[in-house]
Amino acid sequence: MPKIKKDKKSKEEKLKNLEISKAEAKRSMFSSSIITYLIAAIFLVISFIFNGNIINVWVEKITNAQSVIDEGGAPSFIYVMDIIIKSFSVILFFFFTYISIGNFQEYRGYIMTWKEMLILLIITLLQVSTNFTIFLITFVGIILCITYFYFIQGKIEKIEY
Amino acid sequence: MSSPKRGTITLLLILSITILSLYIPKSLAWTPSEITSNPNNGDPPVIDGIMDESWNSIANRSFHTFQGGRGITLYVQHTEDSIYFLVQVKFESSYNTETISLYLSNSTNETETGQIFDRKQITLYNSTMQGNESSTYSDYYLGNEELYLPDSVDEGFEGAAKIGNGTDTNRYYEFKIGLQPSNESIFEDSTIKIFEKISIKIGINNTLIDETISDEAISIQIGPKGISIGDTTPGEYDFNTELYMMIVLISVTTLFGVYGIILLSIKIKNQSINTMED
Repeated sequence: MPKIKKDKKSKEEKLKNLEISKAEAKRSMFSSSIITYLIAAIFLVISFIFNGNIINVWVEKITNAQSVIDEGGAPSFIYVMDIIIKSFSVILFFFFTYISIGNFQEYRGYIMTWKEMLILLIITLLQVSTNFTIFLITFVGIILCITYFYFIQGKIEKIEY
Repeated sequence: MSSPKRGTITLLLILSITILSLYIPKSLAWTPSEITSNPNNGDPPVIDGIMDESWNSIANRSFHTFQGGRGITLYVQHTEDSIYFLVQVKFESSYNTETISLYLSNSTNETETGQIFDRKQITLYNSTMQGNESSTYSDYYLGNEELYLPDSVDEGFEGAAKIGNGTDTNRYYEFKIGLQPSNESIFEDSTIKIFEKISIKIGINNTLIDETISDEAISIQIGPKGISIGDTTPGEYDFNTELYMMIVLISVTTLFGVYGIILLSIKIKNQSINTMED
């Protein structure tokens, strides 16, 4: 077989392999955005239940714990748990939705812009806007998440180059 | 690749917007200590000095804890024709008799004393002996700017007090006062009128001689939406936190659902393309 033809064939194979790996990367990017979306949905449900004060028994316990604090008592375990559940469900909702949107945008061939970030940030913080303590914890958590993503992004870019 | 400068600007922008957004919920949800409850027409409390289920129900739960060492909490709820007060007092073993008085004044906030126009009083005897306690109630009348006890007991007022059950050693003082329509004239005994804003101070007396009246007063108004407790000036923006949270959470879920539908539609599209390719 002539050498030129052989080179052409191997080049074609390489291109084909590259295309397959690109398609696979795209597919895994999309499936990752769906998986993270589903995880975020679980945390949204948790946030809906607890921040929306849907379970009456739980709300009554928290109201009683709050009245103990108002009277000068120490915060009870259930009160601390309530704060942790409320804030962390929202932080994790933000974290996974951020990954999901980021991957989805990359799948579409775009990057996540500040507009998407801003919308996500607003809808996340609004969920905890009625309680100052929970708002503060969530705010700090989100800032940490953003910082983490910011540095991770920088690392990935360095590796690519 | 986005330049580091652009990334820094984005991060700073997010930070500043987030800090600014702190003031949005603050201005909306963190209004003064106003609690609003709906009329409890289905399950009004029985005046027996027991903190029954109607006081614990979230829908009717409006309460205020007075500052200070005595640990006094005032609960309020109302029906269409009566207003109910429950005063919860922490146990103190040194006194055998305890009197709790509600001082009703026309002051519209916590700082002004205002004109006291009524006093409703319950005395609890044997207040250290759980199960053996008894109570009497008195309704003072206003005459020549002085409060006095009339010979006959007013029918529009009921009261009872008891010590809690078992390990609950709090004392509970339950008051029921008739509401008067806003357009009716005032009779000899003052009555709380619908839409009228009143201020309540609590007097506690253990020795029947010296009485301590709370420095703090709590203002109460019965409006179309229920009872408002707290130092709020009339016409101030009445914010319903529960409704706000529901609107927020439903909006977030809808937005999130729309994004999910987009993802799902792309997945279906991809699957159909794959099937065609196969």
